[in-house]
Amino acid sequence: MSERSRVESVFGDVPSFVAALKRLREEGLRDLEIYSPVGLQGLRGLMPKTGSPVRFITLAGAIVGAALGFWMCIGSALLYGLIVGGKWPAGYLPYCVIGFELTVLFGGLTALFAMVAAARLGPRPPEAEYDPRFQVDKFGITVFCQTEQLTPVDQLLRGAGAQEVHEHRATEE
Amino acid sequence: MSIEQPRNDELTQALPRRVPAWVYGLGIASVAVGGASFGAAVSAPDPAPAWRALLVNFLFWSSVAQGAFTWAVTFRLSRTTWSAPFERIGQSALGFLGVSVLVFIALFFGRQFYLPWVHADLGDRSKWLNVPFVFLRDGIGLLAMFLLAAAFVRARLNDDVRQMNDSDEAADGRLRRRDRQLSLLGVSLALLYAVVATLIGFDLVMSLVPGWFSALFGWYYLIGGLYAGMAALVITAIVLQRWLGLTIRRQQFQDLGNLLMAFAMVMTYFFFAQALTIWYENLPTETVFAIPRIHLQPWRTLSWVAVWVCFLGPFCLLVVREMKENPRTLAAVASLVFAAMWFERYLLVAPSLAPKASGFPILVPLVGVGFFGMLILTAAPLLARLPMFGRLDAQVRREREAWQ
Amino acid sequence: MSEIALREFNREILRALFSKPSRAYWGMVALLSVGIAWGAFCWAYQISRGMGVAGIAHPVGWGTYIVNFVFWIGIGHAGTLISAILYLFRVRWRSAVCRSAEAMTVFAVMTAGLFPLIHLGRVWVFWFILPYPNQRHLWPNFKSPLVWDVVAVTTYLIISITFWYAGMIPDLAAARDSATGRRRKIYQLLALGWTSEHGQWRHYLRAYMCLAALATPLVISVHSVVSFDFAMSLLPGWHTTIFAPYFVAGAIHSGLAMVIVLLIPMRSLLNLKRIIQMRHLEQAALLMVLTGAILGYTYAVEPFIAWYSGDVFERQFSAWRAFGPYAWAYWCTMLFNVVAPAFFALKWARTRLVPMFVISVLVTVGMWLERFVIIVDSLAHDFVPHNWGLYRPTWVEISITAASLCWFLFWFFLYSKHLPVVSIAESKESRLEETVEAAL
Repeated sequence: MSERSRVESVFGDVPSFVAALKRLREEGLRDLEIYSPVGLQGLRGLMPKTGSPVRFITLAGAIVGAALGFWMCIGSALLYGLIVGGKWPAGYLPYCVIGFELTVLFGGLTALFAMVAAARLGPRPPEAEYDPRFQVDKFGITVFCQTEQLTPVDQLLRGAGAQEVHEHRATEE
Repeated sequence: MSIEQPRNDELTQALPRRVPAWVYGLGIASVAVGGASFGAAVSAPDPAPAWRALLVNFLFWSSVAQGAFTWAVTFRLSRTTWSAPFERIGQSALGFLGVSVLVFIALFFGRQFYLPWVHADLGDRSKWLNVPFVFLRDGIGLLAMFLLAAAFVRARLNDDVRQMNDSDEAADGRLRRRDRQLSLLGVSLALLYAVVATLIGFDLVMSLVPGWFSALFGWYYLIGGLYAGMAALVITAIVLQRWLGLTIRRQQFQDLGNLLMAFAMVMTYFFFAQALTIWYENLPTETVFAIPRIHLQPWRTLSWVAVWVCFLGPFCLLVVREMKENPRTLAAVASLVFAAMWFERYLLVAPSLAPKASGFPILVPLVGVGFFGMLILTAAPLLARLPMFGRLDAQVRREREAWQ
Repeated sequence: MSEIALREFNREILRALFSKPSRAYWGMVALLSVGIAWGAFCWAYQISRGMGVAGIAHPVGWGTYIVNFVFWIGIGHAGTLISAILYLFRVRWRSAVCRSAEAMTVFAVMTAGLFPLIHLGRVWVFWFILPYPNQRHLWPNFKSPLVWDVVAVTTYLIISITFWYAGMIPDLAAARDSATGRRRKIYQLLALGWTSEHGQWRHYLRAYMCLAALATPLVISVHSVVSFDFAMSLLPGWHTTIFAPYFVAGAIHSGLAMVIVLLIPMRSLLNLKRIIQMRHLEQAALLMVLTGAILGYTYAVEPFIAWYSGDVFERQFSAWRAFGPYAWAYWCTMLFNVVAPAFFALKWARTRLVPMFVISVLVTVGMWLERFVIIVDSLAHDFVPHNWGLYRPTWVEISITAASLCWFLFWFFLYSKHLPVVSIAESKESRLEETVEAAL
């Protein structure tokens, strides 16, 4: 099986890491894997991919929860069909409580499962190439590119201030 | 997460900002429309609708001004530097706080047309609900709010403008003293707002239905003021952004939107807490308030509309991040909230005083136009003079950075 | 103030996990276990002898167990406030305390959930209230506040655990990388293969934001639903519209106090003073000034509205509550919940550990007394004089109350030794925020 050509780099601070991301974006290099010990929400604009389906899946889960809550309440009230105080067996005001709670319950659980699925998490050890320093204080950028681009990318990353740069050529089948 | 602001020397050169003549023209014309409408209606054989229109608009516009100023105080007390410009915008409501006192005095003269208990026998409750005591305590509260607010604005304005011209060494000592003074004034104002808004909610709205009571009502009324006040702040900040010399980032719009959304949620919650408790026990002394609004037209339809445009609608719209980050959509939602809260205040009053009314009287919004004019005429001169960012804000920012 | 390097966050926070527990730690765990065992014995005794061994009897059918239930649910609220609500408002100081606050929530809700079961007496029939399709066509009454309670508290427990766990995933990965042997395998399982890659962060942050957005209305709704147990009734002192936000404000008040009570010793024992600084505790104390003021407002409005209503039952009850046999609890409530935390408005009180700890303990006690006053008083003195009576907890109830505190602390002790007590990733993010802005 052939491995793709890539340049792996490690950065020790945020300014050089951000500088590298900016340069890569200017050069049109978007096939990246980026590692950081923190979420870095402020750098969203520099990242190659920004969207996430988690929000919409959570919304869907919440709507399902709301529907289930009201259906359960209204359904069971109509099942008994007891007229109390001259009112319709089902009352919408009290059922808002159950409907709301199940909205939150289903929405929350869906958010967790959506995150696990979208991020491809699972109860397994990290891959062999994982560098635990990215969990501590280092930032990493892996640039996937053509073999002939390896050297220019290497120079670009070193120029931005990378502490370590490693080139990996694609292996033959 | 900082707001970019001009340098201090640019600020002093830019002040006071020039208010275009048409703004004052609009204000005067609006006051004329409102005043003429009220004047014509109060001279009619039945002046009750005029006084009720005045009451509704007093309740709404004074709570907007009080809420906006309380936000200014809250931003100062919470020492968040991103909100410095919004604090100043909230301070511009000072003038209308003074106008509220005058309108409240005017309301005294028409009290028999909107307060059903004026000539009623309330038993021992007349110790609390009697004309001199009600108007005295509410009037003193409103006046105290205005005076404290004036002291707050004066302290802030003096320092901002003066200390831009001082050296760092001279300013630091004064800043610390001023910081303590503003904290004391701010806390007093916040507590006073809670008391005054609760009293007005109890005295001028809850008492409109004799025998009805809800312990949460005062709190609900004061939160409504904060909600409408925040909507006013958002609209003003976005519409006048360029004139005020502000550069508001996407994140700040989101923060404002989050605050507005939070209060939409809180208003919905307070409304629901009362509605559910009253519905559940079905006690006549409590349902007397709800029945015209649930069972009689046009209030039934209007109530449903109010629930959606005032509470649930803005909440659902503001849950979407893009609605908050875009200033146009945020301003549109804030405008919806502003109008809806006016409508809500109308629904708090009208069904209580005229449960079997038909149609929507045009007089109420016309008088409201007059109040809008008064707000413009009192806020514009202050906004022209207030710097959006001062030395005290810079010091707070430096202290925060030192924590890192 | 010295700047903490990023790697030092990992080292200092994970040190507590991998250092050998001291004898004092094992001593405390043993003591707490004894307390739990004693509580379990008392519960078994109660089941075997019947509910008569508890002090609850006519007319006070809800006593210490329900007070404890409401109290512990309330304690949990500050955790969700700090971790969810303050996250949405991007308040920076929360990062040092949010993890422990969330843990406190989870354990508090676990503790609270025991009390309806204990109070039930015949605990084996608790499943009657669960809504599930059965061949008897039996469903709970969804209009009942007690059923709302079951749904709300269960939802709160599940979402709190979900939120707590989701927030911990990056930190569990950090623990995995530092651990060896069996512990490494456990952390590996829990960390779900986290590698800090941007794709993971992207979805993680979105999910965390969604959970925070969902938990925010949840925290308000749960204690409101608990308050509806009382507000939906007819009893004087219970049936009032203000109960929902009153309970929520009180819950946050008691929760913040408990956060301070737990964090002050924890930061010393686990050598985390550089990370959990005085200014973090100071912010929590300042919030208590606000919640204390809200409670003061409610304490003033309630008797006023009772008088304003003109209802003779409400008026007589209000007077009895302030001047009757339980008046000591009523006035202690005012003193401990409103006057004591007002001292936090003074800088000296909120920047010194001793006053902070003392005031927080007073608030915690005061909030328990407030629930006692609310629940017991209204039951003891309702409409008909023939129906009036008093309540005194028995040794069984007192023992189970003490055991619940042992249960809560036991879990907290376990957590402090096996899971990261401070959010490593969020603490680093707070530190790096200005650097990122400057770099852009």
